[in-house]
Amino acid sequence: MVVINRYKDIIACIALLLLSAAVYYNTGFIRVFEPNSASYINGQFFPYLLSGALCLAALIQLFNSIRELHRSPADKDSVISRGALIRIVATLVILAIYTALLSTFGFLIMSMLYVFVQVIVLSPKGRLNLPVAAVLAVVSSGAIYFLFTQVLTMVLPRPPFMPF
Amino acid sequence: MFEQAVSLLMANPMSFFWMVIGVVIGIVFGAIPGLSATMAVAIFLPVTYGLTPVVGMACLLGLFVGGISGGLISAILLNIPGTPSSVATCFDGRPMALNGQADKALGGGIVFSFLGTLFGVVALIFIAPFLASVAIKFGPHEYFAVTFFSMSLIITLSSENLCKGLIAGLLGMVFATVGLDNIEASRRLTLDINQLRSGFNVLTVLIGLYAITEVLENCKNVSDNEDAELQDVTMRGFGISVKEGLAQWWNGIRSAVIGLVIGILPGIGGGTSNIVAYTVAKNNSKHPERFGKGELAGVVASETANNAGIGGAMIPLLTLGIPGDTTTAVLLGGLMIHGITPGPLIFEKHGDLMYAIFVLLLLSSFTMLVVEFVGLKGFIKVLKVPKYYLLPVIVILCAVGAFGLNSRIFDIGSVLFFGVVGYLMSRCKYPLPPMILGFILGPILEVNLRRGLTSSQGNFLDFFSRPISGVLIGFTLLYIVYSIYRVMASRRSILITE
Repeated sequence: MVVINRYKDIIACIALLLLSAAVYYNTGFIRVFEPNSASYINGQFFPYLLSGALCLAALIQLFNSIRELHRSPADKDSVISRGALIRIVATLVILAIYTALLSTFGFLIMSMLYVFVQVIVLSPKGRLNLPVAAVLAVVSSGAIYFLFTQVLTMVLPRPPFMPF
Repeated sequence: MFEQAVSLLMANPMSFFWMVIGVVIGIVFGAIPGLSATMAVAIFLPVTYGLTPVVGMACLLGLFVGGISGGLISAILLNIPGTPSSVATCFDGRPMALNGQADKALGGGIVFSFLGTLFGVVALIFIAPFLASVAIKFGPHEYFAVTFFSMSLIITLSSENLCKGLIAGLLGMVFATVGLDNIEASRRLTLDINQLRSGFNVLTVLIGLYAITEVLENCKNVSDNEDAELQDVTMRGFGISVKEGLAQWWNGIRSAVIGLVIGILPGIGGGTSNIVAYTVAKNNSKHPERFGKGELAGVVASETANNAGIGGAMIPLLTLGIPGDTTTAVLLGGLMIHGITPGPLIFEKHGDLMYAIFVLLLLSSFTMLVVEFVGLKGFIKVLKVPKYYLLPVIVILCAVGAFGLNSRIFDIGSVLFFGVVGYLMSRCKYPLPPMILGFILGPILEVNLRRGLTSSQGNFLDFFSRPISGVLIGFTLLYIVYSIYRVMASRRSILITE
């Protein structure tokens, strides 16, 4: 089963228009050095310029995308399998959990868990080898932790219950 | 100055060790399709945090040289270019391998990669100090003009769709605006998030856009390269005879010059030069019909050009502080982390380090030659390691890199954010290089535009009245008009064909 999104270009252009509007709106809150000065060359100048240029470029691209939509059928890149979609969402969720729990459980434990679960998610059907995934998770995370903390004397997130 | 550079290297003997490590890892990253020299330099940047500047640069330069050259291995043996710099190597390298001449293709490619790198570095040694002495006279108007020219080239040449290239460049500049204003120090677009006061770091943007995007792309196409048909290669000597090598002298020099010139131009590095050099070699050959069927000249042209671009891309980076491509953009970050700001004064302030960089580049190219010949069988084995084992390990290295910047988990979150942005952009066919270069060049563009306008009381015409900035801006505007005309003409011809 596949998911086809022929409108992705149009959705992207609308998102860009919203972003340019957000940049324009937030630029108004930037404190300028001399608010009463007649000079327009201040901290707001460049963001205003960028939001205007982004809005204009997004409008041109929106026009092009609508024209293309009527002219050509969906290209193969618009097609994505449901399995792939699940893997992408799962990867994003795993990465978000990894980032969120890093300060609580520390780099070593979270990295081991992350590598193990990510290998499971990415492995093609019939190729999943759990013992290999487990060994890879422990060895790679351990080696990286040791290299950076012991050899290169870098500080990595560490849980309170871990002595080293 | 070279004596001081050698003394500096002798005082830091670990430079040689880290350079060799860099070259080996760089070749591995270059050889594996999907991984690139840029990613290698970005991921291993944190390794250099605890090292002295010269040792750190030794590692990064080794990664750069190895990463560009390593792409030829998978191009010849798998018909998949390891990096965009080796696309044209596939055209004749793969047919040569299928004809039982894999050793000749690999040997010729490695030798001419080495010679190309050497040519680029020698050019760098002679051009960079001269250009720095010229650039020292540059004011904000000239800097703005050079940066504007660079941005225009990147946007027009890195994407088939001009508008998407422009949007990507603008997006990069918008993200670079977040944080404290460089001139007035006021908070901009921080959404009252304290961690955003210092803005996004270039490394988080790069790692997110390249590494996390690659992981998400792999979720889409889960494949297994364990079954890849990799032939065993037995190399005798250099794979090519002296006579065969000498027969390519003119092709080599021409391709090296093409690679060097394209490397100097911002935004278009090895990804373009290898194809241009290949096309020129084919058009000037007495036997153009042999190209595409296993002609050594094709491999030589491609590999010489992409490696000559290494020295070329370093020229604007060191003398103007403007990176020539995405890899030199990360190197810029690496230099700045170690307190070195590239620009016209770099030879006065850090002359010994600059010449040490030249020496290290030369040594890296010799190391690359030796390591690729000696370790070829090992690199071929690495190609068989499935990506679903490699990528998760790369992600945790990315996390270390991001965390190491400021010891903040927020930066790891930023990597994830830019990974999602990069993936969505690549799904919608927005090019990533303009976004990265926009992120780096945006602040340079803004600061010099504002300084220039302030010094000329808000009169933009002052930018045109100065000779260097006037000529450069005029040329850039003409080039933009020509690019728009070219796009409209090709669109019209498509419509007529339909």
